[in-house]
Amino acid sequence: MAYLSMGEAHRRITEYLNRFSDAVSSQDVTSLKQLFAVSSNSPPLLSLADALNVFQDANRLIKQYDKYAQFGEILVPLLRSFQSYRLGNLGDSYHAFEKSANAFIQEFRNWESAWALEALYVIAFEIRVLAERADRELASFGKTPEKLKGAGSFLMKVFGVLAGKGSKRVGALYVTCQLFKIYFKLGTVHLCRSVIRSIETARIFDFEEFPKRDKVTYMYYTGRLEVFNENFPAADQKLSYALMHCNPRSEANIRMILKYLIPVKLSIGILPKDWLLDKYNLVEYSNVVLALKRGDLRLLRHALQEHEDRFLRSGVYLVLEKLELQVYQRLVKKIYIIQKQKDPSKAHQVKLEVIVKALQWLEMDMDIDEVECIMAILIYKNLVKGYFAHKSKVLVLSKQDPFPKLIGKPVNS
Amino acid sequence: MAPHGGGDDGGGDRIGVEWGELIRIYKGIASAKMSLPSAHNIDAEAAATKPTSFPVAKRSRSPVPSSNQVFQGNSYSTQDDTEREMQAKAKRLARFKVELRPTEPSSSEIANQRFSGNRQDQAMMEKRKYVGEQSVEAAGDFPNVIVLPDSDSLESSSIIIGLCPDMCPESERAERERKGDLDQYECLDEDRNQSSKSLAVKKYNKTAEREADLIRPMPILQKTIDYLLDLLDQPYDDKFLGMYNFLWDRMRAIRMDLRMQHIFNLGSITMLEQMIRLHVIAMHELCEYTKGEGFSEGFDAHLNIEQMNKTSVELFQMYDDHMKKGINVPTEKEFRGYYAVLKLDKHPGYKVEPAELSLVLAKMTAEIRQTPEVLFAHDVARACRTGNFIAFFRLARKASYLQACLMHAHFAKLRTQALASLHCGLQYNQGVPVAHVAKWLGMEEEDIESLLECHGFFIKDFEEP
Repeated sequence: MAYLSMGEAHRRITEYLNRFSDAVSSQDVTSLKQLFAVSSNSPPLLSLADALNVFQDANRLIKQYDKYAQFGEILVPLLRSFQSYRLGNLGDSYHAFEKSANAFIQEFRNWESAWALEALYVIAFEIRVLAERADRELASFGKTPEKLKGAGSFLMKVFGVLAGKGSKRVGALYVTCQLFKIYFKLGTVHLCRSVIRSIETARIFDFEEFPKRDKVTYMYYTGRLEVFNENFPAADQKLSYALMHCNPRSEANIRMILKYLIPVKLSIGILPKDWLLDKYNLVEYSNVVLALKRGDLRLLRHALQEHEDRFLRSGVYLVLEKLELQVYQRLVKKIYIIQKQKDPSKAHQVKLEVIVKALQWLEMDMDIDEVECIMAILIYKNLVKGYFAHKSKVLVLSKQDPFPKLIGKPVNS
Repeated sequence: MAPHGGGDDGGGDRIGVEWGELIRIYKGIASAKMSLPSAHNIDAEAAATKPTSFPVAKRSRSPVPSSNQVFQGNSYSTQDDTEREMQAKAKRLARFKVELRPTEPSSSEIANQRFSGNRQDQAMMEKRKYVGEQSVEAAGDFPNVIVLPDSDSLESSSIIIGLCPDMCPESERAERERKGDLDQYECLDEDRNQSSKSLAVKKYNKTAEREADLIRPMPILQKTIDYLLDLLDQPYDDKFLGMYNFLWDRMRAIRMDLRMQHIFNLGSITMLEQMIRLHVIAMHELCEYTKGEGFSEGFDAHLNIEQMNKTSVELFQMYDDHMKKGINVPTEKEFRGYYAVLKLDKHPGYKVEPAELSLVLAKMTAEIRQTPEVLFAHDVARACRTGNFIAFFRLARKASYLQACLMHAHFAKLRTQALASLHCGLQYNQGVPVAHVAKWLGMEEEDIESLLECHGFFIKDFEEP
């Protein structure tokens, strides 16, 4: 590392402190927000951190001048956070940053206008990211990670500050989205409920007021929650909103939305085109779609197993497994179509044995009792119209519309 | 029911041999006039369109019990047939005893420290041995850190080492004797104010006491749990409820003592496993009881599942920690399997989010996921979620006793849906042999007829010509 003189270190720190106090006094949020971005690794901030590690007594500097000292509660821990981060002490860095952020919130509260909102966004972001990294550090030492949980509590507090009358409340959705990210990462998604309730049902907010970017993120996460709870119509609505309003050039985001939207659409009988899966690199769904088209149960089970890990982690595995019934429907329909070609007058009578045989060809070992059971279920769930005759072991299809389309309604459970 | 020539059921049913002397079920719509044996007045018309939520607490209908045997003659039936019931219970007791014993002495180092001789000296010696063992475990990769399953203990650096030499601290026993706060299993000669060292067991207390004298070290805990499990060797019948409440509470106290001393070794694992087994068995055996007024009366199914849940989470943390050290616990797959079956769908009174099973499976390693126990749970989940009753009840027949106990909670739901599906799929005046349905739904020994009538079927007898 190049030699850094005391003088130069002193200069850098002073420069930072000046920028800070100038930004606040002139309400220049664009400058201010950059000064909080600990994890950004931007060159000026890295050089500041180096300076801090050389100078070692920034606190005295801060207390020396009024224009810095008035923000002492914010600046002292903030600088410590930079210092620790540079040295790789992520736990300390997070801890200091949270202290600084706390102090900032107190100031922010007192400022009449919402001029500093974007700085708050940066702070909310940093809180989450620093907590994540601190937890990784803890885990590597075999300790229990708990910083991210703390970050969640902190952001709830911030949310509380923003929820109220006044121009500051448009920031609430951004903070909500950070909270969502935290809860999803921790696996404590049930905690989302209270914050959603505040956004959606309390009279404080008008959803349309929020910035578009935040609305898209919000709909994405709440859509995912609906997928978890298997409310497919609601999931469809929310994820589709996110897709429609998402920046069309942001391919990564579109991909994330589609990852969840596709299983939902499949559950209501809508299949994506191959080019869509190719374009957004979602080829793990290709075989699922093919299985549905073909009525190929073996292929569906195989596809699920092949990408088991991925589907389980994203939580769509069970949704996809449920597509089995639609696959059976398709298989029976194909048999019907083939029979129709051979002898239209007898086509609507499908011997259960034939279905057993078809499944055997697919290496699915089901006996006639089980096939009869599946047929009963298909009829019950309105995937097939007709009835079965037990003793003659025949499925008798309705002459009209024997395979009703799902038309956007999920298979009722 | 009077035999009927099969003339009016739509032709062609003098087909004979396969039906034997079976009774058929007929779909009927005039059954609004039906007087049902039980108090359920479900209008069959309504039943034809949507089988209504079924008020029959059919969890009293017993599941298919044991694993390797063919179904007949093994189920426990309704109150009328007490003799069969007793036989079945005796059989269950035998299996139950087997299930609750650890299959191998996985905590062999604990087993060596059998409690005997002079208590004080023994306790001291045990304490030293225990401490030694603890530091060996901890020393591995992480010199001064012991991983905690729950993060609410802030004093992670101070480990308490228990000194209590008895199953119940002397002071507690004296106090409870004085207040008459003794469980029936702790009373000496049925005197509510008299207990003894060999009968009193430390009670669960929400507020964690940190005094070493009140906390039992590992060997004492081992002795305690063995004692508690031995209680199950007595013949039990409706006594089980009282015993369960006693056992569960005392085991909870053991868990607390383990936590306070940060004992997370193989011995601790075995204990938690035994506790879970107890909860699973209770879930089934006590399913007919309702929640009582007081704490120790009645059976709180929800609380039982909640305890099982909490214990499982702790247990899995310990499995993970051992895995990190390269120690593979052979029973892990068994208990991960149970947890998966528990989480596959909601239970009466215990909500399970639909995605929970997905997360449960995601947390397992791919290796564990492929074990027979977990694959079994996965198959059960699939059958349950698609309503495939044939597959479900076939799996139930193959299940081990504990797996079956867990599946039992979903029997009613599957049966209801099965009958609804059959009702939907059968045409008016067409039928299915009752014996077939009974086999499909695992109800061969049960009174299926009233259930069928409840769902809008009526039953017709046929005599073979």
